[in-house]
Amino acid sequence: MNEQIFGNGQAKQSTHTAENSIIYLEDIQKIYRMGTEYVYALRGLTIGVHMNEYIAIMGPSGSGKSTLMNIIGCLDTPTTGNYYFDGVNVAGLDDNDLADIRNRQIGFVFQTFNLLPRSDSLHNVELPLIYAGVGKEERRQRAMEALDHVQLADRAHHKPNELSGGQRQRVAIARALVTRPSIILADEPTGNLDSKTGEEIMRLFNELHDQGNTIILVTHEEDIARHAARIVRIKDGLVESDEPVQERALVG
Amino acid sequence: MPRFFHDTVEGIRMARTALRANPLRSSLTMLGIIIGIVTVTLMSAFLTGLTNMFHETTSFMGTDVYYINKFSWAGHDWRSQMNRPNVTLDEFRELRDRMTTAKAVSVSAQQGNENVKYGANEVVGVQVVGIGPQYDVTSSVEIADGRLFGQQELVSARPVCVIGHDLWQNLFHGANPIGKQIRVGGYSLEIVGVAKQVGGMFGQFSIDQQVVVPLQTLFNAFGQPDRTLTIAVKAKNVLQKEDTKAEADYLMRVIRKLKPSQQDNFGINSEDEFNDMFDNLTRVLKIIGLTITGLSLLVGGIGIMNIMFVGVKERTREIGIRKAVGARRRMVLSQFLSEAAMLCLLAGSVGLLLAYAGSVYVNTHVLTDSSAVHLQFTLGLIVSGLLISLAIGVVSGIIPAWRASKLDPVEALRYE
Repeated sequence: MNEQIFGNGQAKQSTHTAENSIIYLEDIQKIYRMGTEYVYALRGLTIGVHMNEYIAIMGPSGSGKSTLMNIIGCLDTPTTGNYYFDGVNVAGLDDNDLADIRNRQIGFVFQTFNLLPRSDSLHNVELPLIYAGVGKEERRQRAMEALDHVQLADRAHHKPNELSGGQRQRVAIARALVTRPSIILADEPTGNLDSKTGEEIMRLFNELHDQGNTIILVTHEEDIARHAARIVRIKDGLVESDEPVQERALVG
Repeated sequence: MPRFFHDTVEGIRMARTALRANPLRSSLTMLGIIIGIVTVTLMSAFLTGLTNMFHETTSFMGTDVYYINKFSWAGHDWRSQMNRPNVTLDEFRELRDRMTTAKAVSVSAQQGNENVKYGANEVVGVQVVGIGPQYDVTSSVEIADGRLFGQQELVSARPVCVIGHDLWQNLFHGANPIGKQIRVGGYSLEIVGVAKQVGGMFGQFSIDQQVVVPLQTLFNAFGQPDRTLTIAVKAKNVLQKEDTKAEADYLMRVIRKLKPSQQDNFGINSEDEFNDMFDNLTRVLKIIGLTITGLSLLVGGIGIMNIMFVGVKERTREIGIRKAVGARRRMVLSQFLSEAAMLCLLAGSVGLLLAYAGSVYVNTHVLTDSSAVHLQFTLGLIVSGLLISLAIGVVSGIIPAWRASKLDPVEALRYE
């Protein structure tokens, strides 16, 4: 199996193990039952991500890309296989433990932003801290810092419908950063933005990566994927290729 | 524990935000509970008023006075009580002489349903009460005008009487009745006094509508044979009234030569028995009244449950977002449960306020007669109203909240 995934004779990438990766998925299968039929979304996939890596997961629709993202994001659990998050196998954890991992270790950025429509930016950003049990004062302060980080401190009391698409996505990124998570998981973060705004967001991701964050980017756009340092292509529930990006976009 | 406190406070904050976001829907949903709380509260206030009025009215009997009658007031077996011997004057005398724990022992007799005439005015169906010495001690009867009978009048059976307040109003229309002659069942009596108004709900059973005469006068006018009497025993010490009751019971059994195996063939009654009898009669009224009004609360609760289901459905995506950023099941549950509970508590408070305003209005504008039942709005009513509202919120919110907490985050995030 390792042969197939880390094919290409690149010794550097085959060094991923459960011990040295922030996330390590081992022989993951996800099987859905549709009536009497079984649908294999993932067919024994293995993949690892080091701390401070910036990887893009690519694949056409139906490739199992979304399923993989849900499993990496601890929103879903694999049917079989092991998933080590910072050395801990999370494949068998219950809903509440998964909620805690999502809360502390993972920062989500979605294509559709997924902000609470009736809450202002500040409240949207402090939401994960509420569920982390952080007190009101500290919460406010940390949320403001995160908003400041994405240059939206002056929009703290605007509601999502009072913000542009790019600003909304930056609020979502601030929300993802506020708990200082181990990984940032971005699902088509530029999918609902024009290309200029999309580029701004990608520049922000590059900065976050430079600041030491681990970023996993899920996309079907080649241009967007080329911002990452490594691209993993998924097809039919398996890793098709896994290689470093030679000429990264926007770098430098 | 601080974590639980934190979660609860945050759940309430989120619920408050959600309710504020949809004020019209929130208030329409609350309407059912508001109406329910108003009807239940007013019904309870009425029933409390009714009970209190009754108990107030019966207090004229005195808490420390026992009435020895042929019949037991609280008893159910009236037919077998019919065969009991009458309470006689001899029994009264013997009991009075032997009682050691009584402050006073008096005797009285009733003659029901006589017509009373003064000039052209007539009142029908009046009860005539014949009283012996010390009746003024055992009963709380007070004289508003004139006087009660003297010792000589009682012994010599003079044709004198004291009339009740209502009777005086109806016969004399407020004119001075002292010294006037009235005809009671064809028997002429001179009025020496008017009793103070008692008020209350007893109508013709209260002294307000009675004619009081010396016992012998009643015997002379309406005959003595086959008449059962009422002996009233007032305890020397209120705190030891049970001893007085026990002594009266014991002495009556001795006087009637009852064997230990035989049951009492007389009744020893008091205000308590009378109140018990009333409470038994009104229990059904209470159950029916509160059940019917309670139904509106049930309907209100169903409305809350319905709107909570709709809310959970509408906010599926929001729930997905919350779960994605790390909300545990319990947090989602507590958010929606708080929402239902707050909705109901708010509705309950509004309902109580309206009911209070309503009861004040009814008491000052509708039930103005001092003898009418008044709505009684008690602190207990407020507390139980709020507790019931809270309970309805929790009960009707638990299933929708549970459903919200069980949502799959992937599905919920995909929901449009």
